[in-house]
Amino acid sequence: MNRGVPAALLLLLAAALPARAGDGGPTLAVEDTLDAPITAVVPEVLVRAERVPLDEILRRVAEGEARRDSLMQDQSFDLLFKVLYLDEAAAGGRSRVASEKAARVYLKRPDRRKVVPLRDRELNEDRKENVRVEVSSSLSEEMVSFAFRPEARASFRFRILDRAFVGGHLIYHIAFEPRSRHDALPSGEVWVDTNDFVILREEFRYERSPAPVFLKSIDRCVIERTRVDGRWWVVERILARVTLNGLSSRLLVRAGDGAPVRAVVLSAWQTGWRVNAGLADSLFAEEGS
Amino acid sequence: MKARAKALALVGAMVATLAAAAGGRAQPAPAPAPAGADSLRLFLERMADTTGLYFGGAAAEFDTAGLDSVARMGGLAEAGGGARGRRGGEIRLEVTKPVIRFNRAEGPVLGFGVAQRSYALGSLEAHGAYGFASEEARYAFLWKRMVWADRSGFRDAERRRRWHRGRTLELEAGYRRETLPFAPEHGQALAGSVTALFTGGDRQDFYERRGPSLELRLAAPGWAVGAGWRHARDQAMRRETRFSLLGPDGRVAPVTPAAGAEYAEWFGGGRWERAASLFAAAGSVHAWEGGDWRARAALAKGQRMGRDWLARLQLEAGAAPAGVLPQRGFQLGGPLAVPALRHGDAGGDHLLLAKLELASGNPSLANLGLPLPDFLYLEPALFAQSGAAWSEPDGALVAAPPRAAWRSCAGLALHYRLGMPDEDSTWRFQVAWPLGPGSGETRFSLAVGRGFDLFP
Repeated sequence: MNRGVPAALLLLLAAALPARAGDGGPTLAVEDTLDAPITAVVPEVLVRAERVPLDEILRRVAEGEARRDSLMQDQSFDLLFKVLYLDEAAAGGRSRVASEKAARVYLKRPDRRKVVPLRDRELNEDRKENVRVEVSSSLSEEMVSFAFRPEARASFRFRILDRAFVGGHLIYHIAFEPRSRHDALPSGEVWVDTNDFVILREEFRYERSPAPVFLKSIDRCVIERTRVDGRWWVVERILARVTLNGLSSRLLVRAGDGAPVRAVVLSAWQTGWRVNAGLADSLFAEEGS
Repeated sequence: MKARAKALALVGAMVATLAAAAGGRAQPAPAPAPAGADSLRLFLERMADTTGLYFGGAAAEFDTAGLDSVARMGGLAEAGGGARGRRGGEIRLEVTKPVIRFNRAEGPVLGFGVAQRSYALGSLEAHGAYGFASEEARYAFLWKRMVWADRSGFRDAERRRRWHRGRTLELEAGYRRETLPFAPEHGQALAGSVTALFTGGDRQDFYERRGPSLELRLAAPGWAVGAGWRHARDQAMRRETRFSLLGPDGRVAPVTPAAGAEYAEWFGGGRWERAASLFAAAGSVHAWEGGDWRARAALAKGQRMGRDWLARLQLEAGAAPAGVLPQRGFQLGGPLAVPALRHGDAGGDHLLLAKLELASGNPSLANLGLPLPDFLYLEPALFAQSGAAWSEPDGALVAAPPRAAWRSCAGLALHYRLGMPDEDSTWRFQVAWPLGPGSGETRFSLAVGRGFDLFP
């Protein structure tokens, strides 16, 4: 019941939309993804709504990200960083937390940075894992927009996977992959909110390890953004799973039973965001690292 | 129940079709209820939940109880829209990259640097290294400060129809006592060290330079220009060790002596790059006392051929007046410039070099079924290089090389992207065959660097 009726409603909407297209106002195209029994009976409905071409979406995403970056003068947030060791590369293996770090991070244009450590807990105190977290002084979150930056666009091939209309936001689901195997670049997917043309979420992976002697593969990396003060889209969570090669696997021997570590999961939470709070220069008198 | 739902759906669809056929004259059906304002949040949370399932326990935040009070104890407060912290004055030393190299003029060299960075004062750096065979120290004291940064907002950037790119202007002043290679554009610090240590076959020549310098650099992602002045005192170095792990002592060649000289020099240059493997251009000019000068330009173009293949063309030209100091002249030879020749087998005050390479991005050897470990992605490549290094008696800037000066070779290479010393570096194991007279002999060599290797 809940499959067929919405499909019919979509058709009604599709029939109504072309009439509105001539009004000069913005028109939304509705996907004609219908259930098989319906498409067998109902002829195709042509939608005359204009769709933004992919090139323009990519250009606008770059502009949207650049605009977001340029409007930010300072940021502060709590960074929670955790490293998990897995004793099996496949799912289902045992895991243990190797390191937990927390810090309050202050960033200010153009390159000011202060990192105040709040917690540094190595769960195996006898054998320091020497996990070091570095925070970039940039406010631009290039890890999210790297594929869309004008200087990098030519290195990727893009395609639209899906569109979704959610709560007044038209979300484009776009896939990207490197044009050439010669570039050590990842492939992945992003979800773009076309209201502001900012990236809401990104997933990527490396087809081939960028450091094959140490890392067998970078299986999956997910970056999630959240909105702060109803205006700023900022990174809230970063998760990455890395499978190790034999060499690095033996180097990171699990404490206790001495089993080698097969994979590592890294997670970073960025919470307690404040944007453009007017951080004083005196806060950065001594550079943090 | 299911059958009734499908029947209802079909009726709905038929009504819709009739409505469409009637040109919308039929009573419009009620529009679907608009999605709630928090639909986007729910949409993102659904995906986040799926992510959480994949990553398991790592996806959960850890307990942050007490962290706020820790921050307060650290003397940080964000009151009144501002924040106060400890004022400068505390010196915190940071150890920079270590120096590890080996060559026949210094033997094993070990060292490191320290830096103290401050937004008010800039960065103060001190680097030191010691050559255990030459028993000499190399050091540098540097002061760097960003004197200007592009703070223009998006509207400014948009009005000027260009991107906000974070341009910065940096000033560097310092004093260095350093070891430099002859023809530095073809220098191979890492590969030369490996070759010298294992086989003793590295022929790169070195000299010592010391003196103060002042430089201003304007940089942005993709391009950089700079200009500066230095006072230099050049001094010859000699062979100090014949040690190598595998090669015979007799294979370790003497070091070509540099001419001793003391001079003040103005220099400037720039580079522009578009994507690491597509296009790059660079140029530099040096002019020093007595009317001597040195000019060099390089141009590179990459062409993708499908997803797997890439062709790279690199061109280089250099000129200097007749009788220029030997350490400031140009050379052919070594892994980067006609590798069938050894470093310095051909040299002069003018240089022309063309390099063409066709490289596969596919680990074809693994595809052939060879028993290679899975981390050994070796990519095959073909290359051909031709160049001339000659001397012009009249010191003209632009001149054609004599036919006899041309040296050429062709070869095969295996590329390995090791991820060291950086993710863009490729280790290239190459064998080159000479083409034509005077072009050397069949030679194996190792090169480490980026795809456009004439852009150090």
